[in-house]
Amino acid sequence: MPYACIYVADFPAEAILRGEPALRGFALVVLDGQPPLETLVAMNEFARRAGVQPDMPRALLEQCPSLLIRRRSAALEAAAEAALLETAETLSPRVERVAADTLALDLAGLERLFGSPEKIAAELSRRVAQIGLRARIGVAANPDAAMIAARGFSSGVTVIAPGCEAEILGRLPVSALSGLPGVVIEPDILETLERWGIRDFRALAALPTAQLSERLGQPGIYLQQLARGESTRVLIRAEPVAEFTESLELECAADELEPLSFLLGRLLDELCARLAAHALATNEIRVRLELDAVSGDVNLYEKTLRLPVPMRDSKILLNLLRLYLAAHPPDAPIRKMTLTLAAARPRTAQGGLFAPLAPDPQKLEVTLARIAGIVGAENVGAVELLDTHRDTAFRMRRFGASPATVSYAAIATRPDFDAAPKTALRVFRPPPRAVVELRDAVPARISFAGLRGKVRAASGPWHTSGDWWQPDGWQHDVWDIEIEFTGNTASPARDSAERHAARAVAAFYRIYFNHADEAWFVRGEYD
Amino acid sequence: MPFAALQQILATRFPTAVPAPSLEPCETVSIGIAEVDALTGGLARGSLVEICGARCSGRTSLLLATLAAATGRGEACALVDARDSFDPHSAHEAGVALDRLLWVRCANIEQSFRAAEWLLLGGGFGLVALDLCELAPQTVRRVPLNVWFRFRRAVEHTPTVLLVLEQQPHASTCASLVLELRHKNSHWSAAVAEEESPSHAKLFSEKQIATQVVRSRFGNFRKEPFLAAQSGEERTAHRCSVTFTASPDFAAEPLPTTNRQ
Repeated sequence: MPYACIYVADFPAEAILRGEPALRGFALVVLDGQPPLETLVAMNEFARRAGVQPDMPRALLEQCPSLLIRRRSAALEAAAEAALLETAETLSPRVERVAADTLALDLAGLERLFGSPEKIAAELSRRVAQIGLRARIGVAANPDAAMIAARGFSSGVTVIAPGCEAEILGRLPVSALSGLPGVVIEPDILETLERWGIRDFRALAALPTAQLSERLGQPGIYLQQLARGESTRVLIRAEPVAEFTESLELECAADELEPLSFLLGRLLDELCARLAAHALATNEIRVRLELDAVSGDVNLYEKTLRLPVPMRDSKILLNLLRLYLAAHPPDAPIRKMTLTLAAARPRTAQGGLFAPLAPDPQKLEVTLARIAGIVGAENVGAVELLDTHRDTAFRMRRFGASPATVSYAAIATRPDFDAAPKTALRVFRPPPRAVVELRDAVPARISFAGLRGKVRAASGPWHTSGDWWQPDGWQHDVWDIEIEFTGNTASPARDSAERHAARAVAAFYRIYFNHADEAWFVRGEYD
Repeated sequence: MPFAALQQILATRFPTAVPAPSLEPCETVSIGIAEVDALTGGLARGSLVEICGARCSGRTSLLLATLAAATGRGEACALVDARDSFDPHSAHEAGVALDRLLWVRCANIEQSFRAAEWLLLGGGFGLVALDLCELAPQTVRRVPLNVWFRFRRAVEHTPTVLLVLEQQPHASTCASLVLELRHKNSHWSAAVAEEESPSHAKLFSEKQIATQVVRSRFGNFRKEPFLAAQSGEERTAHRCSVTFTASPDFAAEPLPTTNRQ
């Protein structure tokens, strides 16, 4: 049963290079700690070739003009670690997170898919390179041997055939055991081995086991098993990810959304690639921006953008995010941004040749966001009638969020439905106040909004009332009237042609007397 | 000599002089009113249709019938409401499936045109209605012609019908069909004529709306089969107007007089 190990050397530097790929060709060192007592924690190959030593202080490093110095970024490392874990899980379902920079994989059963262990290792290396990291791969018969091979040999891929572990690992120095994650070695054991003249794994493996146990106890036996490549253990499977996060810290705070969209696009590309690797999509984007605060305090901007359908098209997500940020802009320049996509199962829909016309949900979401940016989010959507007799009662809800529940067939079979054309009412919002002259308690003349006319026919009153226990209760006497407009109908809202037309023909209106205001209003016109 | 025969002779002898009429087969959809469907042959997909008329001329009734037919086919529709005058209750009574209707409530003409353009570019809607009825004609007249051309270009070769409601036609040659509506007659319940009849015994029962084809890109080709079926003649005169009747939603049932508690 082969195992593989992925090890990313100089992980803090690789995490930064993954976030800023443009730095790949430069010598880079990463410092950690409080200034001025910062220590060098990682460097890339260019810095190593330039002669940078691990114990160099910052002052010395700053004297080298071609050297890029970066502070360690926990956010970038967390994002790189998550990406590495997700990439490993695309190859094998059994992955153990040994350390932030080290993963162990069970390769059992992958031969049928990828072929020999060498091909599996090459595929693993390729996939890790796709997420912007450079890793070493070790393959062996047990996870510890694979881990020692990956961490001990500087070559890209090391494959140890079964039975050859002791021979291949024997070339490694004993000091290679000290940095292994999960392996606790007391310093006096290494000193003892040093005094004995045990320099490499081969010498350690050749020691007689019984005598080694008498002198160093169980830790010594364990170290010898590691050196022989014989240790066995069970992988502890990593928890599956529920959300995907990427962060980016800016050297200079960005105060405009346009340049920011390029960076957002890059983060979304990476996140969507990770989602695709897991055959997942997202239905929620969480944006966390650290803003440039004047007072020195951390000013946070946190918003959540919920999507009606799961999607993972980075261009569409970028458009939605841009429109959302344009509608809700942060109030200060941005120093750092973190995007988190909640994982969701992708939408599966079977297209039909005879399916009725409907917009693509992803395109529709962008269109709605654009229109919401023009008219306001509360003014776009589907309308839902409320269960009340108040004739103005309705509420807006998200369009397309739920599948169609009412079909024309259902409407047509409604007992009160008549398929004949209906005279529609156009409502006035807000309703204009009217002056109504009554004759025998029936409207005889009316004037409103600059229009004046004689009531030809009237039907009513239809009394409606409700919500008397609420502040917005109503009590109306509703009339339907036919008006013949007369005289001067000067209206600021209507032009001469319309006034002429209004005078020429009769018009039908719905008016009501509001008992609360003791006034007449025009609800709308029948058109 | 009839004009059609003369045209045929000219087309035979001088084929380049008489351009062939556009006979491209295009799918049409029902307006939702049989009389208007018969007059126009339906609404061609991928076309811009203007419905114009004065106040209370029946434009909204025609719009709701069209929306009811489109949503009844299961299509998603959009209504860009330039002055927020759409009444959802009337639409419900007219049979519009409200969950298939996207309502965009605008405050001015700029918002309306921009929203309509985004909807057309987004695609996927069976019907996009742009309601400019509440805007003064001179305001709509200021819209440059290239905007209408852009709309026509956005909607053509798509299954969407762009319906524009206004007081006067403005899209010029961009419109494939222009219908003008006019209030013809109205009927109240019988008691209205009697002076002694109480007002609450009367009902606004129905309204007759005359529909006229002002211009159609398809000429009378679409109407020929219908006219032939109606009259039995091979070629008939161009019939360009019909009258249909619309009734208020309460014609069959009076308004509620008590509140639902």
